[in-house]
Amino acid sequence: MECLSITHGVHQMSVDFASTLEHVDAAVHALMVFIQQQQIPYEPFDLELVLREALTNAVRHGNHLDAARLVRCAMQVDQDILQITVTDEGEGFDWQQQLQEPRLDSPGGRGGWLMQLYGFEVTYNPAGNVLCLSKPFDHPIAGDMV
Amino acid sequence: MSQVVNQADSVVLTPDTDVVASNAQQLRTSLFDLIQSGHSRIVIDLQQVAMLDSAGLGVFIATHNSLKTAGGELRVINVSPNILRLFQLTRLDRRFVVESR
Repeated sequence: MECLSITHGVHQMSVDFASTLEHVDAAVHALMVFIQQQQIPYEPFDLELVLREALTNAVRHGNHLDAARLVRCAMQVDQDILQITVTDEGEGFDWQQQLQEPRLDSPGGRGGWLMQLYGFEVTYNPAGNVLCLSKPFDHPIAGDMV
Repeated sequence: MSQVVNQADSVVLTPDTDVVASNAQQLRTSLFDLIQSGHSRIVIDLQQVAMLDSAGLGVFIATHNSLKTAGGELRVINVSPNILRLFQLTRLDRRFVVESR
């Protein structure tokens, strides 16, 4: 198994990668190239940030930085919505806590909250090792609605 | 990864790459070393930074917390419009000084 492998369709893409933070960088880069080709009407910074949070959570909290475990990120572009699924090989983690707004002076625990803040619907399977993100193309980010 | 320049009343640290999970620990160590060596007023110059994630934010918060305890101050300068919005959305611009480019 390669440390990072990419599967392409016309409007879909998936990346499998070993659970290291360096591979998160490589996977995000590959996904952002695909996003630019799809001309998705999101600010690239926002989408890259959300991808980084989702993949870093899977690597760090899901697979516990075990390079022998893989993370898969599948991205599907439909007519008016982007859907992203991130699957890790861990036992799951306390994702409910991750979705809460942390204390302002807390250095950690912002990943899931940021994904929501940038307008994505965030759902996990009950075990906490499959994350589904979706965002309609006309959905504003939370901070822009207030 | 970072350039460090001493000024009259502060020290300026300028990362030369994005501040994300894969390198946040390196920046954290550099900032910790500055605090340990007695610097209480630290400026982080983000002129070369296009992306900042929650791991990077965590480094800034931890640095601010340490400096505040010591009576010091953190300033983050030359932030891009997208990073400024990130600081505003997370309300961290109310915790320490954040200045746009």
